[in-house]
Amino acid sequence: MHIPDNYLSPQTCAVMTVAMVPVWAVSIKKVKEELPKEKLPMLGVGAAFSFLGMMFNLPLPGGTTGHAVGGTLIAMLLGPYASCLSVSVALLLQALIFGDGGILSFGANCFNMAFVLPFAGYAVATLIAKVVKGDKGRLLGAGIGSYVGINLAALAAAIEFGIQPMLFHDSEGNALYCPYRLSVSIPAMMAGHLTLFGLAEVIYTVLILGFILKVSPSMVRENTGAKTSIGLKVFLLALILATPLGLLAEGTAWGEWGADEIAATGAGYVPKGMEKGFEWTSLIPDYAVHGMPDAAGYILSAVIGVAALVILFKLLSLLPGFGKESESV
Amino acid sequence: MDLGFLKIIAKILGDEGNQIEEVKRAAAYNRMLSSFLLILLGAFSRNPWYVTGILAGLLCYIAMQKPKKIARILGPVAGSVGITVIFLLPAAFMGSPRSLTLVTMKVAQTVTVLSILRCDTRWKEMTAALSNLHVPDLFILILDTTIRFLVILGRYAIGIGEAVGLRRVGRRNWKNAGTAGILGVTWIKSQQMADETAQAMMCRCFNGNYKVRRRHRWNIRDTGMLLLDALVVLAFVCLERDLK
Repeated sequence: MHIPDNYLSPQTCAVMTVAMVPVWAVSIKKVKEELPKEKLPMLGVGAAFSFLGMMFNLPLPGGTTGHAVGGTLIAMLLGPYASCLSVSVALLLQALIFGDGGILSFGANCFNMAFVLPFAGYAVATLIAKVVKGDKGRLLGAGIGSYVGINLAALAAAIEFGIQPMLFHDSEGNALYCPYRLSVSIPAMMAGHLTLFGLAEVIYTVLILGFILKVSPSMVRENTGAKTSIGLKVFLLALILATPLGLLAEGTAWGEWGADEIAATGAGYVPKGMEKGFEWTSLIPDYAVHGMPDAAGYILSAVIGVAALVILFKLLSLLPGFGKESESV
Repeated sequence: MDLGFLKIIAKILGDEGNQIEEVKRAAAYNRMLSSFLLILLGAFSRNPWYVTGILAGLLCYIAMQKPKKIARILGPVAGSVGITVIFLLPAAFMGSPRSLTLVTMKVAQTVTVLSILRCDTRWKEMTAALSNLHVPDLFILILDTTIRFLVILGRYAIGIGEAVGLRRVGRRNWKNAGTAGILGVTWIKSQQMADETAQAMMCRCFNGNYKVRRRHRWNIRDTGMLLLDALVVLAFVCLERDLK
């Protein structure tokens, strides 16, 4: 679901980024006002879980791959505004350091995965949790919410892809950016997300939420528990070590091909906007470290990503006015 | 007169000593040796992935610390990395971006290691560690007094500088005229202080021998650190061999 650069026109990217600005502004304001200061580092842990979830690629027949995002999970633990910020920062890190998702399309990726997904997922989850009380309700809500969230996010991405050939094409009718129309992009994106990738998001969300309810229930029930429990740390470490499983999925996710691959996917030509488009050379492209086994490179990338996110949010908690001061008794 | 570097030395000496947490750690000499090993291997390494791997490990350690300590560790790192990038930027434009990446990462690694050592170890623990490592006492004494005098005399010089600045009247630039005087007075003061230090040493029966009164008992943290060192050396050898 990470839209690379040059798949969307610069105009679309600009509109999506502008659309995200008020969302980020409101999210920062809400987090400043509502989230206790000592819970801010948990945003980093949430972002780390989201980052890791996106590294577990799952294969689908036909050569495409996909992954979980974990936006609803963070929304259930820290609220949708915190989730928006966590996933946005995770996406920024992925784009800048690992070349996963574009720089220009960062706004669009955030709109899909940091806005649509957590807010929709959280709305559904809280609605269900109101009907079905207790931990069962929470887990059921999280499961269904995450499924709805990831599918709506995939639909948004598919629409962004699909409108490109309608809006931006040359005199011969060839698309300048993504060459696939809505009639192709929506079924292609939704087929995977309604089935395997949606299921992966549900399992990822319910599994981790269930684990947290067991080892650190106060984090969910009373919105307290700023410290990461040992169990959660061990779980995070296990996820890092398991990330090479994501390498088992061969092929590229739909809509994430390189300019050299797109002609062979059925488009028949390389759109001009992709041929001479914006290019960003990331530090560790595709989580692969040249000269090292893929699995080692993948684990190294996971370690760097997780540590950087946790450090970043811990430092943010030092900023004056960021996060609600806890009431002294 | 730019005496900003004195702040750094003051931090080493223990102005921030109160901020060092009382937690059980490996022996100071073990930490010092590990830091030295990391810096040495980092300097010798030609493989960017060795440096990346070490940086990843250091990032992990930093991520587990409290926010304030993270800020203390990363403050000097940010400054040194920023300066290195500015100095090496021409190399990237002239077709050698690898130099920019590798050297910047090496600087980041070295400063991070030192910064962690500073935040985890008090100055007195460092001198004790040097003594444990059988560094000659005379060397430790010179290092100890030099660092301390740098701070004390620096503060003294700043005081004189401020006094000269306050007395500046009219158009005459006293600031430049006073530099030689400030340095001269500071030198004379340093002689007095050296004599006073010698007398103080006599009063305390300190003859320049650094004796460690409380011996550190080898524990599991020391073993863990030793294993980590072995792992780092192994990674270095393997990655450098692959480069050939």
